[in-house]
Amino acid sequence: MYSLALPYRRHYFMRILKPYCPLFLLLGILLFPHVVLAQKTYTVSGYIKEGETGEDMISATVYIKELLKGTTTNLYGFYSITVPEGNYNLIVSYLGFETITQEIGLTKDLRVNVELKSKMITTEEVVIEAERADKNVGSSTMGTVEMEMEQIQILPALLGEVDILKVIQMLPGVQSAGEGNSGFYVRGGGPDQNLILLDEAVIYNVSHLFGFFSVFNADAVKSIELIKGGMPANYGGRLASVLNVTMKDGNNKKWQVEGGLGVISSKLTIQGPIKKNVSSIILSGRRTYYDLFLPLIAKNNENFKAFEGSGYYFYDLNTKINYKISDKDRIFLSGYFGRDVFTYKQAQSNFTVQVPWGNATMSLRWNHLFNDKLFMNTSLIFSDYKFSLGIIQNEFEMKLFSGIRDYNAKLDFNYYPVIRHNIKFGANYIYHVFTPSSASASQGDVEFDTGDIIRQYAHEGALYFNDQFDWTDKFQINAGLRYSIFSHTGPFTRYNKDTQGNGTDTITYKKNETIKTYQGLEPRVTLRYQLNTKSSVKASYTLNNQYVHMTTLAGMSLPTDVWIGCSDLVKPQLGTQYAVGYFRNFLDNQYETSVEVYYKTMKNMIEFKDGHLPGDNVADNPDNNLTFGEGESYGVELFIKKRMGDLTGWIGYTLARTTRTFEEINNGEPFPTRYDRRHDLAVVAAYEIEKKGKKEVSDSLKFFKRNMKKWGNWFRTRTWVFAGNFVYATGDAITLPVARYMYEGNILNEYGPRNSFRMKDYHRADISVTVMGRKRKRIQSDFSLSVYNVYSRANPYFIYFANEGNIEEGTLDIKAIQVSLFPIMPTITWHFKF
Amino acid sequence: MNNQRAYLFLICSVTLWLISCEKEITIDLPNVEDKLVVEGKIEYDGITNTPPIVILTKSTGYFEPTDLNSLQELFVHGADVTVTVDNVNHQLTELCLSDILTLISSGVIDSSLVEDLLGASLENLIGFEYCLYTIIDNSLYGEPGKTYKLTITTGGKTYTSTTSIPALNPLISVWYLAQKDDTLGFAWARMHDPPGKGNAYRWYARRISKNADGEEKDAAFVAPFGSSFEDKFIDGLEFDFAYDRGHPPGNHDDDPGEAPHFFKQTDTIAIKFCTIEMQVYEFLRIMEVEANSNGSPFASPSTIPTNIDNDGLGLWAGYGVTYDTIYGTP
Repeated sequence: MYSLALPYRRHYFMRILKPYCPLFLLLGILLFPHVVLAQKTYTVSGYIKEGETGEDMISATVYIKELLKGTTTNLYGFYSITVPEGNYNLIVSYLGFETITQEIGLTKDLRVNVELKSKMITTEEVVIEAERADKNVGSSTMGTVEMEMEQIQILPALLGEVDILKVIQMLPGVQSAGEGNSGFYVRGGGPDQNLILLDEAVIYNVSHLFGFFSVFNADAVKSIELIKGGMPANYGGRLASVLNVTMKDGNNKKWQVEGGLGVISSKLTIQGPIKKNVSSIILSGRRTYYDLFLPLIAKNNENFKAFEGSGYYFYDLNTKINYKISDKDRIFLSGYFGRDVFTYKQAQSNFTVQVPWGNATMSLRWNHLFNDKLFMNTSLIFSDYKFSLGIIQNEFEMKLFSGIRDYNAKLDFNYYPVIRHNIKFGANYIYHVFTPSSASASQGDVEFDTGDIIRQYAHEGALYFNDQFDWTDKFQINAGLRYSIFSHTGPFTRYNKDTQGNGTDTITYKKNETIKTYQGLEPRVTLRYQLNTKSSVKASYTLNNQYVHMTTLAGMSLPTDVWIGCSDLVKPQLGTQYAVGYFRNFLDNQYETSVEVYYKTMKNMIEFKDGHLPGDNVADNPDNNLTFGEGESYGVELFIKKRMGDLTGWIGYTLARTTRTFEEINNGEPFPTRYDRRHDLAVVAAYEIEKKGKKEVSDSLKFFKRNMKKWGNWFRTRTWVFAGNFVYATGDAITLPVARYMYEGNILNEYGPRNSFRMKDYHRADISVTVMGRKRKRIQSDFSLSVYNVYSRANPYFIYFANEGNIEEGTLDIKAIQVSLFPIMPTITWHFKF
Repeated sequence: MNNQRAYLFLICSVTLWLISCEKEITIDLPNVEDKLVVEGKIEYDGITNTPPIVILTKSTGYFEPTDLNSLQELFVHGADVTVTVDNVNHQLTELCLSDILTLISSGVIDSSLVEDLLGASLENLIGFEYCLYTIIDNSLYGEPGKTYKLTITTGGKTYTSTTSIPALNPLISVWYLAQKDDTLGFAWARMHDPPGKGNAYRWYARRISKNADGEEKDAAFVAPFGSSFEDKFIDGLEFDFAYDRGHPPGNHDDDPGEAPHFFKQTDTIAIKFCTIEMQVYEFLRIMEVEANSNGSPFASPSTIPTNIDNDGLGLWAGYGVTYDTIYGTP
């Protein structure tokens, strides 16, 4: 049987890969002569799944004990290892799960699918892991962090609403966009430079109102991975980072319902098998039902007075279906739909405002296994972000809208020819439709001339090849090359302007007419030299092109931010990053540490010209109002993480600097960005007390012990988790007036150099206690107490100037006022499962 | 039921304080050099000959005192100010309030013109030594289509700027329309914008009906927020538009019985509708946004595009003025 199957497989393999043959031949001869001369090899491959739910496990470690070599599973839980014929022990491990060792006799290609069972986090597993370099030390990835959802769920959360983006902000090199805000900035990059993917679909706006919540519903998320440097060639289109969020596939063993009822939002998640072990579905929804923030802010803050009498809500819907057609084929269909709706009504003057905005994504993916070494994923992805603002007053009607829509097709291959090589290659095509600010307005019967809606159409394509290979036992190279191309095509109308900014004429391009094309090669290299099983040094160089830009009007990211593509005026952003790092594990890999130093340059960044107002984009090309400049960023990041044991957590510290230089801004002098934080520190810790009879309750719990009899046996048999975090960051760089003058009786400001003033430093501590109920009980009760901003620090949110009194009467008083948002905020969360 | 497990999260918030708090803070701002601020205009209204008026002040440190004495010290005296038109130089003379009052009483200058310019009633300014530069001998006045160059020499520096007065564009009609409670409303107008983009306008209104004290409700023309607009969206159109009642800068208090932003049905309203150059419009619109934003986190600080060179601030503006009146109905 086998002798028949192999030639067939080869034939099939060659047919599919025929176009790539010259490439492989060349690479084969140049890079791995040992392949050509190789002895007889066989492949062990398969899927790693979570035993309880059947979810694919991403980045699980799979290796051959005898060779101390192996791989990690890909985004779909697939692994493949090709080694010479022989008997081996295959070891599969994942943090928090029991390690599986399986004897395999490799005399033919084998399929070994493994289901891992979860266990309490203990130090046991390090016994096996200690023999080979841990992932932190041994991998040739830099600036990459994977977070376990279990860890995120037990950390303190603002208003009890777990938010993955707020946890990410506590990693070194990642700056938060401000108090309670889920926006983030990576290594000095702009907010548009993060590639945020939800099941491979781009999310263009990650925030709900004011950024207090991200669009990611933690109940529906399986895993997150953040790449802030050394981006491999399979990712592109952004300069600063990749945030890869993977949704749960849905439990394919049994039905599960989870619900949440809270002050902020209600949640419901249903998941289960459509056909056991073959197909499953997950549906997860969340909606705010009570406009919590605005009325309170409006009541207490003059600046938000205008929001009084307004309504606001948002909702999210995540859904995913997967179906295993055969051992070689699987299909996933996932979708996200979310909307924020803000309304404002003033009945007395017939004035209404309606502002809806949000994302919608849909991804259809097909996994296909050509053979044991070649895995393919094909994706068809739709992404859409829309914003609109409608105003009606009497007979006057106005609508302002903007958005971006992508149709995306991707082909990604994972190829594992021999154990030393892990090859990725693929292609990507995106059709972008940008709708920069457009408007319609009318007064009674008269339609105002707001111009045609000028959409911007563009094609973006990329081809990539990436190989991670062991040159020697100590030296690993992760090298890739990405070719990207972007073409702005018609229909399009270009408004030409004279030097005064007055319109002169327009140029009209026909449908599909090419207006401007940009292309580039993006080399990506990461080198790892392993000093021993405990330590390694790594270095990386990456070059990235980014063909989409976000224009932002305010000092902070808002839903009004408009995405535009490259055009005849706007060139692609070009980023280069150099990084070196030292990675060291201590105490049997219980502690992972790293020091990374990076230097980045960014070209062709955009900003609106001074004095730009939102309406200026209407009946005009937004890029006519832009000015162009460069950015520079460098820093050092220290990271200490304890992954295992009763105490887990991390300390992250960043010392960094980031500046921008624009010829037409700040007189051409470099200026810091608002989020240029010289120091950024985060300490995160969780301590778990397992209550299974053997371990004694520590002294700190004596208080609870004393009361146990009164409260019955409830507390005695629970697992306790104490968690806390502390963050410290240099204050935001802001622009302040340095002088004032009068014009027509108005007080006008003359501003100092851009972002030359610092707000006060930001620091805050949060704590939480979670009591986990017994799993065997029919009704399992959990509860947690979370306290945000324990010592009620009044951190600056923004500063404004109040001019009170009357100039004519000589009673004018000018004051600087600092506004802070959240004081100490305890929240109790109860949950019970049955 | 065994493979079915239901989770119910009951989240209860023991206490929830979502109170954004504010506190006054002290900020150390760097000392910067004073700059010359120009507030100059030349008007043409087709009725009276209006001379150019230029007020020169200095900018001052942000937290410097704001009492009347300190404000008075900001006026720049003894500058050499000339306006050049058709290659002829006209020297402007410095006049301070005491001089102006003399000229008003002798009928050389109209008091309302001065009040318009100052945006305040002269009565309020008595005792405040307000100074401006102008021409009182009628040798220079605004005319449409002409370009005026302003040259100022003071403190060893020379500043220049040019402006022109666009052709007049009278409103077709003006009226009052109730918006609320039948008695409160906005001032409406119908206009026609000539074809071709690049036209800009500014609107002022002044309630000339009397208040309880027997004085005119507004001492001067008031430009409401968003007083200027251009024809980007209305090019060549004939259309209706409305303005609410603005407040004089620095004084947002309303007289008893007045509703903020609304005119009353009984108000007699004088409308001053001006044609302006695009560069004047650019200055005015950003100036108005700046004057009203005061460091809001949702606005980014803007440099107001002055047309004064050599690092000066402010504006030298030409206005083509037409007047209309909306008569109140009792």
